[in-house]
Amino acid sequence: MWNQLKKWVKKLTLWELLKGLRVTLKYGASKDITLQYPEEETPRSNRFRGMLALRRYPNGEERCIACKLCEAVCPACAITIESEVRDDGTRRTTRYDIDVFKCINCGLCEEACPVDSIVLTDEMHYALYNRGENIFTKEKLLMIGDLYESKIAEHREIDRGTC
Amino acid sequence: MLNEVCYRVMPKDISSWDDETLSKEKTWTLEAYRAVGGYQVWEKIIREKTPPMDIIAQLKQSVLRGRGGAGFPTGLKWSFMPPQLPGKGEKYVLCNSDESEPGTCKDRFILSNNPHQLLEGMLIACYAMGAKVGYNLMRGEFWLPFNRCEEALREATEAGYVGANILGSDVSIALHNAATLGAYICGEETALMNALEGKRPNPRFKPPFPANFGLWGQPTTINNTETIASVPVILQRGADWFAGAGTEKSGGTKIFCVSGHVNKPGNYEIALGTPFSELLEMAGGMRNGAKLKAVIPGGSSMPVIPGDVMMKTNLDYEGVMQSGSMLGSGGMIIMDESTCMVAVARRLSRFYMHESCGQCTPCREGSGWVYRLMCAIEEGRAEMSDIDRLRRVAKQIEGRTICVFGEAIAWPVEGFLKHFRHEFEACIKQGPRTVKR
Amino acid sequence: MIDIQINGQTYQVLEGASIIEAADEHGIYIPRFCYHKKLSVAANCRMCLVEVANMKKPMPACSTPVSPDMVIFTQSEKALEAQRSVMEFLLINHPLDCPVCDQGGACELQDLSIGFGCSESDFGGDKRAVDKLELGPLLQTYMTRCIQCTRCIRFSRELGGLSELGMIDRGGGEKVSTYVERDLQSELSGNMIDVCPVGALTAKPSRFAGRSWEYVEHEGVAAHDCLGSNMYWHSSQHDNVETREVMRVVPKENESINECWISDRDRFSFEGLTHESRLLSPMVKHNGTWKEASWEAALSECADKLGSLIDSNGGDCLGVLAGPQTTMEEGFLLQKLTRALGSKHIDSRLREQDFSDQACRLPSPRLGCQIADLDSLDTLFFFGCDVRTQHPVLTTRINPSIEEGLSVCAMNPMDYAYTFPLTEQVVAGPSALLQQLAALVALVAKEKGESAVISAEKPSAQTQAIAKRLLNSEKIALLMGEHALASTHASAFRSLLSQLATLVGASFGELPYGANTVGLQYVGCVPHRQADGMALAEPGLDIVGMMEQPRRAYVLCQLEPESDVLQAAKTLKTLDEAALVICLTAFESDAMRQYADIMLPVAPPSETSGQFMNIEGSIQSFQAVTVPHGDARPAWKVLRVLANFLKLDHFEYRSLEAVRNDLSVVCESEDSVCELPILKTLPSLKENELIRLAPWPMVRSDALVRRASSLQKTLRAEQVSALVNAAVASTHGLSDGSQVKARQGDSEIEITLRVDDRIPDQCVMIPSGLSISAGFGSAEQAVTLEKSNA
Repeated sequence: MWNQLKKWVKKLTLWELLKGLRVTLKYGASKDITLQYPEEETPRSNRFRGMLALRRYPNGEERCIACKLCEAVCPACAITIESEVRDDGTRRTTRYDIDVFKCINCGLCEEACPVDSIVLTDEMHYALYNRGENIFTKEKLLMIGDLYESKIAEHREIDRGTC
Repeated sequence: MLNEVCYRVMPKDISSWDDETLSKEKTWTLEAYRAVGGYQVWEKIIREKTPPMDIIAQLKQSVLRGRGGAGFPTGLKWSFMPPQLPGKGEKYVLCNSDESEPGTCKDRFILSNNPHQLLEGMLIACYAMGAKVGYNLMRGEFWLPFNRCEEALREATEAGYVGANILGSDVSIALHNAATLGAYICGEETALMNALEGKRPNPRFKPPFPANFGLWGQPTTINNTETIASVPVILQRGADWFAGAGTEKSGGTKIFCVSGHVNKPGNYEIALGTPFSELLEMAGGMRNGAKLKAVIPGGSSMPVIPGDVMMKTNLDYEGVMQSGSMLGSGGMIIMDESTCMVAVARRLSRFYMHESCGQCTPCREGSGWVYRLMCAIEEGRAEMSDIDRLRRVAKQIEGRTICVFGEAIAWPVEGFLKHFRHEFEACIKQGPRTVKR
Repeated sequence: MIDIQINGQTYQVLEGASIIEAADEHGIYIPRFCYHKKLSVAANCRMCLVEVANMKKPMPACSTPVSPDMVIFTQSEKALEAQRSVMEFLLINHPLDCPVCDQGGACELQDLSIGFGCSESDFGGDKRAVDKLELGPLLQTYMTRCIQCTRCIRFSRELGGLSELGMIDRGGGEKVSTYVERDLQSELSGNMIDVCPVGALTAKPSRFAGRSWEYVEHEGVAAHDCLGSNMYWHSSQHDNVETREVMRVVPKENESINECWISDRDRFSFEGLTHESRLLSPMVKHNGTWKEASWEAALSECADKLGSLIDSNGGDCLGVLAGPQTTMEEGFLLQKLTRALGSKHIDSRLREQDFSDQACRLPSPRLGCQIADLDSLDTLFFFGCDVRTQHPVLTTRINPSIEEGLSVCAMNPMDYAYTFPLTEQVVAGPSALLQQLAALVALVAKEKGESAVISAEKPSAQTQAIAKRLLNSEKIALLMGEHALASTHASAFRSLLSQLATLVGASFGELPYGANTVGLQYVGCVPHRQADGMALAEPGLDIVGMMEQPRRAYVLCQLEPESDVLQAAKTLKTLDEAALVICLTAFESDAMRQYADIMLPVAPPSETSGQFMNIEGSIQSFQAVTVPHGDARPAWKVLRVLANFLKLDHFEYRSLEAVRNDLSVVCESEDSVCELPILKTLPSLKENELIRLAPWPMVRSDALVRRASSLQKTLRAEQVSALVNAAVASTHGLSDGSQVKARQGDSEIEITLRVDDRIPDQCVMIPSGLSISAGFGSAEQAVTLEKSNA
């Protein structure tokens, strides 16, 4: 008898339906976590290893001194450097190519660089449409560095003294 | 006042001792030296052809220990000289008169006021060790002593004590005076040899030791001026007399150069084993009756000893060693309560930075580092950890260099830190000048 | 041998050795900076401190001799702590500029810092900075990096023999310096780069050329003197053979030849490889204008012209000369080609002019002893030999041996600026020199109780002293140098010297110029012997004969006659008049464009494989480092194809190994018995003539070196001037610094005159090989001097 009554109450109050909707209702009421990519993005660490760039000093002089440590440390052999001695007696690169198809964004080059020249920006949105664009030349890398300099500097400032 | 050994030609009465009487009496002349019995021993040796081994045996009996700093028994050192072998070339006796240790000024007195006694000592040394040539190498800045020694050598040569066929015998000994160009490191025995050879005075590494490979690669014995000047007296008055003047292990008298905050700074020749308090009294006590704070007992490269410990110390090699320092050259630097020990340490480390020859890495790089740390502490720029750093750097220099200059840098630092660490800490905490002048 | 214990293991070591030597012997590494096995011990870096049982202080392994049953710990906490602290001291003033340092990656300080240092330093403060030191065109200095190990100082003093560097100042300000700023004069200065454990001394020509880990190492043999020093070529661009370039040269250790040193000439001559005068494609001259041609066209032109000349005039019309950088294989093919064409006229002895005793000489010159034997001699006797500039590496053996009692005597045509002291020396003009040598032989023979074979004048005091020295020494080597070989009296010199050697029981040898002069003579590039060493019944013409009886056609392999032969003027004239001159050469020159008709680009030593034979007679082979520049080809290939074009048989070699096989089979029968004729009377000597001494300065000795730009900057004023002594200058009315005209026959040059009393009477020194003396006159012959009007 008692069981019969319980069954009817459940039926009339649509209990099973509510039970089935429990998860739906719970998440329906909570805050939205889906991002509207590409309009919205997940936050990234300031140490995010994205697109590569070559930096300059504030006076416009390129930082790279062609020490070739990045070339030596690169596990994917993605970096190719050629250098010359400039008229002022310093060694500078004449060619600094990174094959981004080979690059595995490990960041070892950045770590090896004694003058903070080669860096990985937090930029991840870039695509290549033509054959050959995978080689980032020195000019291209310096241009990326110029574009992102303020952001790179900001991220470095956060990390200052932590490593 | 026991002016027996090195000052015997001087007036007994210290009160009549001033520059005027010294210049009048001309103690450095052959005449004055002969008047007090000079060259009698040498004449006797030549006359009687005393066997060299007898001389060395007497020295051993007299317990004469090297007066230059290390305190090595002289008789033993002389007996190390290899016997003359035919075709093996010259042997040399060197007198180390490159006295540059801060706080030490005894040798210059002997050189300028009693050069003949030194010459006689060198002649005996050459004779005892079978050397034909002896060099007396003086510090470059010693103009007066050098001229006096040259004059004395000329007199002695004319009198036939030096040169070929001395006093008509078949003994020939040539003596020479020479001067370095004035660097502390020239006082190191092998650096002195290099200086004499005309090379850059860098100390040589050992082995080979100078007794086998010294000046120009020949067997060489090198002694301090005071040591050599003591020899004629020992032979004249007997080894027992000399040994009796001192303690069991350190015989004879020694000159102490008292400097600093005392009323009568100067050279005092006293028996070894005399309590420090007596020496202080002789020197007229502390200036202005101030309290004794610290003493550096053996020239600046020895560790400092606090005043109260020093007052209980007897002045002999073992006594000072027990108090935690070394007798060294006998340069007593006496400091009263007005002294800032950090400033003293800083000043000493500057001296050692300036005088390092630069040959070995620890001394070349370490001496500058110690000085920089000292400056930082004195000027109140340092951190507490710098005191330990200072001690660590000093430890890293000690015992790792070719010569003992490394110890000379490290020991004062360690001595000051051991006894006066609180002053260093105060400097760091409160900034410069903890003790008011 | 005594037993010692290192790190718990017992080893047998030589008594008297230092700990570091004993440890090195058994492969136990002790870190070091100032210690170098070839230099004296300084014990000043204190890096090699080790723990010795029963010793309070850690002991320096380099200066502590081992004693029986010594117990040593190189890795104990005490030793490691001492090493760490020394490392810390060294680094407080060392700049951290490894990324821009040429030594980076090959730096002993870097390596030991990782192995024995600590990763952090307590030091805060400014580092020391030291002013740059200018040491000339070869050495780049960066003295802030110096760690005062004094290796360079000890090298320059003990092995270089010149003591050019020293320490000035003291304490932390101690620095290496020349004191008065000046360029290094040593011919061995480049070795200081190798001994420097840090980047304080680096090579200026290869400064910033690359990073040490990029270089690929190739074994090689030095191609400028007859010692055959071993070395490594370092090349860049390891992944692409086509673009590989030689970037630098470093020595390779070979105890029996060069120990671990090479001369500056061997080290820096690589710069010439990329000189603008490299011949990059075959060139053919038509009606006086040069045109590039394909190999096929050029070779068929060679074959046509040569073939028609030989057809019409017989094989006898061809003369062939080989330069000393020609490899043994190339020399073999060259003589085979020459003889296949019916000519006997081939020579490779460019700097000799007296061949009268050639039939009695050894098939190829020899030192008479091993190079390493020079270390243990009592007396070394140089005759007409400027060993310092011609064979600089030999002086690294002589300089330290002087300390150990070696005495060096010399008879020279001028007072050469040796780096070691001479016990006795005779300086005289060529004819007086011959008389003194004869007097020496006569004197020694008399002393030995043998009948004098030659009557001679009275020996001078120095000659008597030399005789005394030779008679009182046991181990003696007599060496006949480049001047004596080039002399017109060479055969007389050789005969007298070999008599002298027999009399005093010495070894007798020659020191000819050039890398492979020995090997070329061995493979038969001489007119009087074949490749198998068999003497020819009728010898062909030697180099002098070829010019006196001009041939119609000439083939020149790797030489520039205007600068490389003794009788330059006559040679140039003959070549100008010849109907056909084919040059196999790596470089072209203006003179060559004049006399040559066809120029074929061949590969210099770094671009070809082959073998050189050194003066000891040991054959050393090497591989090509890079591919030849432009269209150049290894000379052996060119010769092989040329022979095919000429339709000669037995030239079907497919590889260098095939040539080498042929060569070794032929050369096995070499006969080395030699009996020089005994000189009975002196040749008639001309008096009252001014004789021209014509040495080649070190950096002008061959085509490659002459094009190495940095080396050329080391030429000093006195090396490019005519030198006479004051007496000769006054008799000719000439003064120091004036311009003079020197004339030999038709040829004439203008040159600055300097008065130098190292030159004896009746002599004037006008260097060969200079650009101003190219094509001038002939060496060791009469010359006239007059004041220039201009």
